[in-house]
Formats: sequence, structure tokens, C-alpha cells
Amino acid sequence: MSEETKVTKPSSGVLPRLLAAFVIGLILGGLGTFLVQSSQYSAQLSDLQNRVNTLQAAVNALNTTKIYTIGVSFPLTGELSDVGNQWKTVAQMALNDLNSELANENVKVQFKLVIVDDKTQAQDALTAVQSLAQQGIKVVVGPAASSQVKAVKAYADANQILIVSPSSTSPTLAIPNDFIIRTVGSDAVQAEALAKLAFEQGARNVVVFYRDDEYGQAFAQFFNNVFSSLGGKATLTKYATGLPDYASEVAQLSSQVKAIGADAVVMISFDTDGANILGHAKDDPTLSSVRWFSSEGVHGTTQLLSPEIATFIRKVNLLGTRPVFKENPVYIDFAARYKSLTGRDPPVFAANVYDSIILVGKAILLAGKYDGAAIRAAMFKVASNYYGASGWCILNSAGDRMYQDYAIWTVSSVNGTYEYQDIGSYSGGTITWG
Amino acid sequence: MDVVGFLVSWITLFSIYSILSISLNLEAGYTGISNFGKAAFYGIGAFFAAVISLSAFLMLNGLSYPLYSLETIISMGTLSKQNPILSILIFLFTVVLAFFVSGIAGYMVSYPTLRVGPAFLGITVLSFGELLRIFLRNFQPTGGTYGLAGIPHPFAFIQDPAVKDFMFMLVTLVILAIMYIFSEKFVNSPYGRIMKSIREDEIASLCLGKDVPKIKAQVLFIGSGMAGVAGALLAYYMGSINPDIFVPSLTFEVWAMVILGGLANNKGALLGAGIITFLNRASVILNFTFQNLPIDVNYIRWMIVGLLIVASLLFKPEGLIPEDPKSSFIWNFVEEKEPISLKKRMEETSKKVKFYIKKVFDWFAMGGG
Amino acid sequence: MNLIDLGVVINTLWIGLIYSLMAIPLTISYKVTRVLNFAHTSLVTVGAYVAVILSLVYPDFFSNVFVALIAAFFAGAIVAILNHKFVYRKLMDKEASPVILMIASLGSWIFLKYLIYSVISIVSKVIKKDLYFAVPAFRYTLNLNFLGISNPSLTYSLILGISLIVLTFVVFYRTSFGKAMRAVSDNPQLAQISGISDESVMTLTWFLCGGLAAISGVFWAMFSYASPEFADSLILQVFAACVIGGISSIALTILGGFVIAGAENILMSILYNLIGLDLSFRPFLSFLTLLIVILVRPPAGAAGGLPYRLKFKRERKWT
Repeated sequence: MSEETKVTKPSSGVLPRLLAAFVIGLILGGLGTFLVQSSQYSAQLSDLQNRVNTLQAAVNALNTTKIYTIGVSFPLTGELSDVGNQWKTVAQMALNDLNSELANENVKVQFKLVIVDDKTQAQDALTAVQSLAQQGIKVVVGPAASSQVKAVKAYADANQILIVSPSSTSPTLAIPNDFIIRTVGSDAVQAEALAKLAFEQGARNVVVFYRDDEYGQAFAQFFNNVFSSLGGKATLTKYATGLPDYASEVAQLSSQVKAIGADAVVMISFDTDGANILGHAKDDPTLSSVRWFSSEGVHGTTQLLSPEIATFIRKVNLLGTRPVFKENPVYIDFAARYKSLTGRDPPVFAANVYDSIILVGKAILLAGKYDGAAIRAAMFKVASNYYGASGWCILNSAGDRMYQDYAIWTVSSVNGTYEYQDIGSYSGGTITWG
Repeated sequence: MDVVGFLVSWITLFSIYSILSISLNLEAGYTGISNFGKAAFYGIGAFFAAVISLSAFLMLNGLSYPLYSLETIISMGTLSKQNPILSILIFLFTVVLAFFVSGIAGYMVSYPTLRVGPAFLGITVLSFGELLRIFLRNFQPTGGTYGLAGIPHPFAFIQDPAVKDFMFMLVTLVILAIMYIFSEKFVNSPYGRIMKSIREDEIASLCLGKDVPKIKAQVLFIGSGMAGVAGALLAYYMGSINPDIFVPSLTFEVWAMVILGGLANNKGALLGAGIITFLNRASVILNFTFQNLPIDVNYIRWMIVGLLIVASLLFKPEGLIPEDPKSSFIWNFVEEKEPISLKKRMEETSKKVKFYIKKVFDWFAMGGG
Repeated sequence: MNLIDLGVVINTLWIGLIYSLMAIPLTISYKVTRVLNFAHTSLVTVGAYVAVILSLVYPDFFSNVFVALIAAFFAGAIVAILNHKFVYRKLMDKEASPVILMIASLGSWIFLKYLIYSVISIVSKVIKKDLYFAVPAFRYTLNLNFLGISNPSLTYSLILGISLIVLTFVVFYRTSFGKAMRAVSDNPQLAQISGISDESVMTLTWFLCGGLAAISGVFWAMFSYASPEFADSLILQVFAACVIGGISSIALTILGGFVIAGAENILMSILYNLIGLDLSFRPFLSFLTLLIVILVRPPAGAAGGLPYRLKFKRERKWT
């Protein structure tokens, strides 16, 4: 069969080929026209265009509101989805406050949030930050876990994207001159506060029951150091994270408490695991007969206010520490507004999320341009005299929060219902009650 | 929007996942080994590369910090930029060795697991992967839950991050190409036909005298080795790893890629990996276009991903590019046809191209009518 | 030294029962329809959340466990049937292989999971309660003192769970529907020739399995808590229980549930007290147990295959 007959022979495949030829022709034609035109007028055109652009920009700057976008990478799904979704509400609250403040002051700048889910996974955090950066965003609030912050660190440093994590506490991220800023204090001081609190309350032989992740490990280590130097004895017991239930761990904890004759349990948990542990511990006679101390993780969960768990908390006189500045009016206002919005107390690190968004907004304003390095430099300046919901946000050279006071919290009965109450504070190495 | 940056980061991720999906395709598609422990071998490769490169850099500079410590991360920041040749050499060395380390792990795991019968192999390997992950979480020398960070990027000496990422993308693409060509050759060889015969009828292959467990173990060696290379690439790309990256859901994601693209077709594995990584990356555009929806846009995003997997399976249950049983030269002999030589194929293609070009010119000559 | 506490034994019983209840519908649905259903986790979550949301919104009516369980049963059943009609049936009509069905179930799992997330986010905004971590309201209001066990959730779970398991056995082995299910699972073609409509059997199977899965979710919420992720973190243990039963025998599946629960609790307790194994190794033990069980006694069931060990034994005999 010759080539010619093959071509002229009508077949069903002719139409697509024609279409393809048509499309190729269009592209080639368009390209050709463009090349011819651009070569003729390009010089004059671009000159003119530049002038128009500069003029337009100047006019725009005077008249229209400038909109900056802040990227957010939160764990909306996955292990930390509970806090992630609460934080989302907090972030939007902070954004509204920031924008209404700017509108009141007649500043023609508004902020916008783009919230991307990172699934509580390291690799997804990296793709989330990459996606945000590729859309021109230079500053990202989040991600939550230290492992995620580590995953985005290399990319952020290279591309000068400022990462502001509200909750990463790992000591292995206290790196100077990088693009990671953490608006949360190191747990070293909180562990010291908790250790002194437990010791002052008469605990000498404690079981430290902690999450097996960077937060729990570091906290437990710090606690152990301080508590042993005070003269107490701490036995460290870790539990796996991400489990759907901790009944088995609680049963082991009970047998361990009995075996070593411990007089207190120190729980270093996050919110869901902590509430679950307390929910199972209330049924255990051994664990109901020792004192309990807790970190800030479980503070704010609704479950602790249910009568059953709250009675247990009263019975074992659970005391916890949490990072908050004493009688902070900003925090009190923030907590009240959050409660009216969602019907629950602010969860762990909510104040830090709130302050992170406000700080980023103010840093962008101070920097005057949307550029990672400039915002980073401005961030240190803004933070050094900013008092927010989480208190003074002064950063140290590693970009971590420098000062933090701690409150001592418990759950107590007020007019028949149970509520979270701060009954003391820890500042400058001493505990003050009331 | 930074299109180049998006493409570079997507193609890097695509290459890494493609290596995984091609390796799974070798096992599941061609040999019928339902390997649900891909994440384990991926993780072995990643941890091997991270441990070796970190300790090599520390040792060569006479430092003796623990691998996961803050001092290591800080010092790696400067050390990785000092000696370009050393960085690249260590990178290549670990990537090649990761193949063998993961491969040997796969080979060893196959010994007990192949003896439980093909149907339960999947869950056995999966259990092995989980055991390894939980062990690594509790094994302090490799960081435990801290994971390892500061893994030296092979192109850390390049200042411009865009160029650096582009170079890394090129390297992953080259490695992907090698893996792809290798597995194409491999499945179209006599050995590949034994693999397919095992998939079709294991007992018949046994009766024909093929040592089925041995061949399966060898395929697992190659498949796991490739997954190890992908893991090593991931470690260098992310710069930090931790055991919780290598969870079973990652394996299922790779399975979805292979099934979506079409089992027993390497092109399908590439397409599947391309589609799913692209969906994951590009669907973020929804976050920018739709805000303040009553439902969080992220949920809608993942829902669409799930729907598309189901829809494409409903549309083509055999995968988007189904297996082509006649892809090997040998079939042309079986069908008593003359094998088409490369030269002839190229001639045919050039004829087609010439024809279309002529048609376009004719169209222009006719005044666009 | 006291190796095992009473609390550990009670936990084993309780968790084992819930694992078994979760694993039974997975086994039955695989047996009858050949779908290794990953969307099972979504059914469990749907059940848990139907009970939680209803008990929080209508505390008076749904304070009764039974009403909540029935509501959850129907919710799970409806989701399972819809999933079957829109996904699995269509794929089966196109003669898709089990592995394709499995990946399709993976797709519908992803879809359903984030659908659940969306519903939760809207409802929690409307009723102003935290639903990402929730327990049904009736967990705190149950009161029943039975055989001296003071934990009402446990008592309810034990009584209801065991009666559900017995009911499943009766349905599966003593009714004509059960016979039809077994016929379809053994040989679909033969069943069809004998006048059994495989479509109606499959629909009924999904109705039963979806409902049972949802009820097991309510039990879990009564035992622990409901979150959009809890079923995902349980699914490997549930699969392990099924595999111990060869994904075919209901009785062995129940045994598998208790074996896995025993490994996580009793074995953990013994090793912890004996050699001081860290508690964070708990998931390790369940997988280790699974591996040992599989290697020592390869399950020969619906999914059983060709164990090469037999071949080597024969070789030894011949030589």
C-alpha cells in the first residue's frame, strides 16, 4: 500500500488529526505574530508600560488598601486535628482583631490568611509550606509539631520563608540565625516550675508519665533534672503517641505506682491523650489515692469539666502549670471571647497562636515590604515590646521566646459547675499562691 | 505564582514516588506479591542514608556529637557547604548503598513471609514495617522520636535555592530514568516472563520447575532496593526524617498510584504517581481561591482526591494504562511477524511528522480557509 | 511481684470485645463480597459520631443507650449500602478484581473520612461543643450495677457486645439469610444458579456489616472517646484480628480480637513488670503477636494460599 492512499483514505482518525493540526497551527501562528510584533515595538512599549506602571503603583498606594497574605500550616487532620481545628478559630479571631485595629487607625493595609492542612505529617508540612511559598507567601504560621518544623527548616532557610511555630518546643531547634521563630518558651522553665510545685506539695517519689515525642521527652528530662536536684526521686515512664486509647497504659501506670510506692504522678501530655488518661485513671483505686500534677497540655479540654473526671481531679487535688502571665488582661479578654465563640476554654498554645498572627502582622507593617529577611528582622523588634495574650513575647537570639511566667491551674467547683481556675503563679523561681 | 518552583518541587516529589510505584509494580503488578510494607523499605533507605551521611561528615571533621543533637544540626549547616565534591560523593555513595541495604532487608524479610502463602504476605510485611517503625521510635542512637535533622543536601554549596532544587530534581529524574529503563528491560526479559507466570499461576510455575520462593525473594530484593533509593532521596530532599513519616498509609498511597495507573505497566505506574502527587500539590490552589467557606476548604480538597480515585477506577477498573501483553519483542516472533526495528519505527514517525507539517503549511497556503 | 492486675484483665476483655465486634463485620463482608473494606474505619467513625452528636443535641431522648445504638446501626448500614451501590456494585459489574475493589474502598475511605471531618466541623460550630474529641453524653449518665462491676459502660458493653456476637452467629448459621450468605461466599455462580440473588444478599450483608461496625464505634466511644481519627489508628489491630481468623472464620476472628487485646494488655503487663519494657512498645507487641501467629500457624481460610513450608516438608520425606 502506498503512502498516498493511506493519507487520502477517509477514516475515523481524520478529525482528531485535523483538530491537532489546527491547534498546532494556532499556536505557531500566535507565536509568530507575537514575535513579529514584539520585535518591532518592544522597546517603546516596555518603556511606556514601565512609566504607566510606576504611576499606577503610586496612585494605587495612595488610594487602595494593600492586602498582605499570611500563610498558615495547621494540623487540621491527623493526630493533632483536635487542637489544629481550635487553633484555626483562634487564628481567624486574631486576624479579625488585627484587621479591625488597622481599619480603626485608618491604615490602608489589610491581612488575609491562607490556611493549609498539613495532616500532622512532616512531609505534608513541607509540601504545605512549599505551596504557600510558591504562591508568593513569605511568612507561615505553623506547623505544630517539632518534627514538622524540622522538615520545613531546610526549605525555609534556603528560600527565606519565615516560619513562626506557635507550639514547637524541641530543644534541638534552638538554632541561631535561621528562619524559624518559636513564640513558645522552652519547657525548661516550666519543668522547673512543675518540679518545684510538686516538691513543695510534699511529693518525694513521683512517676513521670510522659508522651513519647519531642515535647514529652524534653519536658520529662528537664523535670527529672530539677526534681532530683531538689532531693526527690522521679521515675520516667513514657507512652506511645497517636494511640486511640490509653487504658492499658493507665493500668501499667497503676501497677508501677503501687510497686515503687510513689506518692504522686506527673503527667506530661497533650490534650486528647491527657483527658483520656484521666478518664481511665478515675476508675483506678491506686491512682485515685496519689497526688496528680500535670503540664499545660490537658488544660482547656471540655472533658475535664465533666462531673466524673472533675470529681477525680478534686479528689487527687490535681495541680498543673501552664504558660501565662499573671493576671494578664489581654488573656482574660481573649479567653472570654473564645469561650463565647466556641463554648469551650482555649486549648493548649491558643494564646501563642493568637500572638503569632498579631506579631506577624505587626512585623510585616514594620518591615514595610513583603520580604522574608526583612520580616524576620522586624519580628525581633516587634516582639521585644509586645505584650499579648500569652504575655511578653521577647525573643532570644535563637528566635525562641525568652521569658515566660507560669500559672498554677486546677479544676474547681464554682456554683455547681466545674471550671478551670488559676490558683497561683510561678515567676522568677518562686511560687506565689492566690 | 512561581510556576517553575512549583514544577521543580512537584517533579522531585513525583520522581521519588515514581520510583516507589515502579518498584511496587514490579512486585505486585508483575509478580503478584502483594507487598504492603513498602514504607518499611522506604524508611530503611532514608534512615541508612541519613545516618551514614551525618556520621561521615561528623567523623571527617573530628566531631563526636550524637547524631540527633542540636550541635549536629548547627554544625551541619556550615559543614555541608564546605566541600562540594565530598557532599556529592557521599550522596551518590549512600544512594547506591541504600539500594543494597534495603534490598537485603527485603530479601531477608521475604524468607519467613513467603512461607505463609501469598495472601498473607501483605499483612506480614506490613507488620514488619510497623515493628521497625516502633523500634526506631524507641531507638535513641538514630534519634528516636527526635528523628534526624540537618542531613547534608548534596548541592548545599549552591547559593541560589532555585538552582539547588533544580539540580536535585535533575538527579532524581536521572535516577528515575535509570530505574524505569531497568525495570522495562527487566520485565521484558525471560526473567520477567517467569515473574508473570508466577503471577498468573503459581502452582503451574512450580510444576514447570521454577523456584517460586527464590524468584519472589529476588524480586523483593530489587523492589525493596528501589524503595530504599527513593527513601535516600527523600532524606536528602527534606533534610530531616523521623520514623513517623513511614506509616502504612504511605504504602497505601503508593498502591493507589499503581492501581490507578494500571497494574503491570510501568507507564501506568508513572502516570499514577504523577496524578496523585499532582492532585496533592495542585489542589492547594483551592485554598487560595475559596476562603471562608462553611466547610474547611482543606477537607473539600482531600474529599476530591478520594472521589477522583473512585471515579477513575469506575471509569477504567483496569487502570488508566492497562497492561500491554505484547510489549515485548518476543511476541512478534510468536505472532510470526517481523520485529519492527528502531530504525523503521523512527522512519515511520518522521513520515507522520512530515505529513502533519505539510498539512499545516497547506492550511496556511490556502489562506487559513 | 504482681505481674497482672485485675484492671489489666478487665481492659483485655473490654478491648478484646470491641476488637472482635469491629473485626466480625470486616470478615463477613470480605467473605461474601470479596472487598477488603478500608472504608470500614469510616463506618465505625460514623457510628460513634451519630451516637455522640445525637446524645449531645437531644440529651433527653438519646440518653438511652439502646436508642443511640439503633440510630448508629441504621446510619452505618445506610452508608455501607450507599457505598456498595455506588462503588463496589458498579466495579463488580465491570468484573474488577479484589485488589481493584480494595483500592476503590481506599478511595471511598478517604472521601468518607473528610466528609465526616466536614460534618463535624459544621455541627461543632452550630452546637458550640468540641466534637473533635468527644464522648457520648450517656457515658456519664449510665447507671447499672451488675455482678459487682461498678463501671456501667463496661457492663453495658459486655452484655450488649456478647449478645450481638451471639446474634451474629445465629443470623449467620441458623437463618436462611445466613445460609444464602454462606452460599454466595463459597461459590457465587453456584449460588446464583440455585436461585439466590447475589445482589440482594450483598446488600443485606452490607446492611448488617455497616450496622455492626457502627455499633462497635459506639462501644469504643463509650470505652474511650470519639475523634475523626480513632478508627484509623485501630484499623491495623482490627485487620490483625481478622488475619488471625484467616479472614474467613467468625469464631477465629473473635479469638483473634482477644489475642491482640491480650498481647497489648496482658503480655505488655508481664513484660513490663518482668523486664521493664517501655510502655511505648505496646503497638510493637500486637504486631509481633500477629507475626508469630501467622508464621506458626499460617491461616488457611478464604484468603489462604500456598504455604511453601508444606513443600519443604514433603521434600524431606522423599529424601
